[in-house]
Amino acid sequence: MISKRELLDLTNISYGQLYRWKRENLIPEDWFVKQSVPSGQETFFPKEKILSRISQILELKDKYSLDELCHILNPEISNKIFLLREIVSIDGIDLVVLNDFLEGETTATFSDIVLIYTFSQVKKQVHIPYDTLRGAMLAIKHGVHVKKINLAEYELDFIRHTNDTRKEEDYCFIAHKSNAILDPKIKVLKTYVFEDMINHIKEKGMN
Amino acid sequence: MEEKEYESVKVSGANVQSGTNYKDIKVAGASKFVNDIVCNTFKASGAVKSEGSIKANFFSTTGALKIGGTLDAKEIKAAGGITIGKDVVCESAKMSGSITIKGKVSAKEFFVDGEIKVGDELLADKFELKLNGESELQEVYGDEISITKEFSFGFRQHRSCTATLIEATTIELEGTQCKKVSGDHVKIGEGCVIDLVEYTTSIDIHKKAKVMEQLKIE
Repeated sequence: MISKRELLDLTNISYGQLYRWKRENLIPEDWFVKQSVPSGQETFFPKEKILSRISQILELKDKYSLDELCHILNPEISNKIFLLREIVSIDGIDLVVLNDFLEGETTATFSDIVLIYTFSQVKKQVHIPYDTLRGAMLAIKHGVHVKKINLAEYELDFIRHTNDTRKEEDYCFIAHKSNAILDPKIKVLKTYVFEDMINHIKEKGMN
Repeated sequence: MEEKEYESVKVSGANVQSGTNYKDIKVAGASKFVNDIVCNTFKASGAVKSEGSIKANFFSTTGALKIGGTLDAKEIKAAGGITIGKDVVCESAKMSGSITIKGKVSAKEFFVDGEIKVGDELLADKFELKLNGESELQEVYGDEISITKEFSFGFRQHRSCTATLIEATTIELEGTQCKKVSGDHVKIGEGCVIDLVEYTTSIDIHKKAKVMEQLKIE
């Protein structure tokens, strides 16, 4: 956590800016956490979240209108249906992943796009045989559809588990962001936070 | 989606309205609204009572106004005795008279002449309060905040304000009692009683003000 004073010093913004962005819903209200200190009450923020949010706002505020900025920064999943040509136009989408994911469908929801985009990144960055990855992707796709998961709260983890016979096995799954993995036999290879993915996609103009 | 055209209401005299969606509302006299209202403009004079919330682009009233829920409008002009049961959300508001807001205030610009009581935090880029009567605020956050007594001739009622915390880039206070004031440029005027003032750039304390502790933040 970071105190309000430290935040203002570190980011060089004024009270006025901070409160304007709060009022404009660019900074979620629940990030303002009040805690008792010897001199009364002080407001604290989740440090990493607020610092990255403020740098995003500073970077994007001159390029976009307030409404657009709100859309870009607030990772609520919209219910809009996207057409194939819209999805193809997103920079970073792998066409093989897209084709396999859609399984013949020609439209996708925003959360589908988030998964397609994420697995496109995975295909580029993680060394896994594509067939294995494809199987995992489709399993996760169906899981997300059935359970109607709000991806913004989840992350995609790749882990390596060493079992009792010293054999290593790799797994891929989605987990709630707050679930920490503490088992020493498990090594987290790579984590994709969907909220970041959503922000990437929104920055590319999709929402 | 096509925008649906809603009907307008124009009445004078005692009336009760039970609709939700309207285009423009203009009422004079004792009016009562029983549902939440969504409309383009809301203009009223006389005693207006709404049991639900009101959402409008432009909202103006004179006289006694009582809203049970939230008032959400781009622009608000209200004069008289005003009671809002929940929050006020707006771009700009000018209110005068005796105002009670039980919830929060969120505004780009918020101007008040008179006395105001706010039950929860007040968040405004620019907040100006001209004291006339006894105001009671809780936490006040913003960019420019000024709470002052206008120069006046002759007899005036008691003019004061209490708050628990005031935080803004620029702060100017008169007649205000507050636990903590924190800002970049802080001016504490006549009649203030402040427990702690924190400032980064400048501070100015009137000789008839009481500041228990002041702290320059580097």
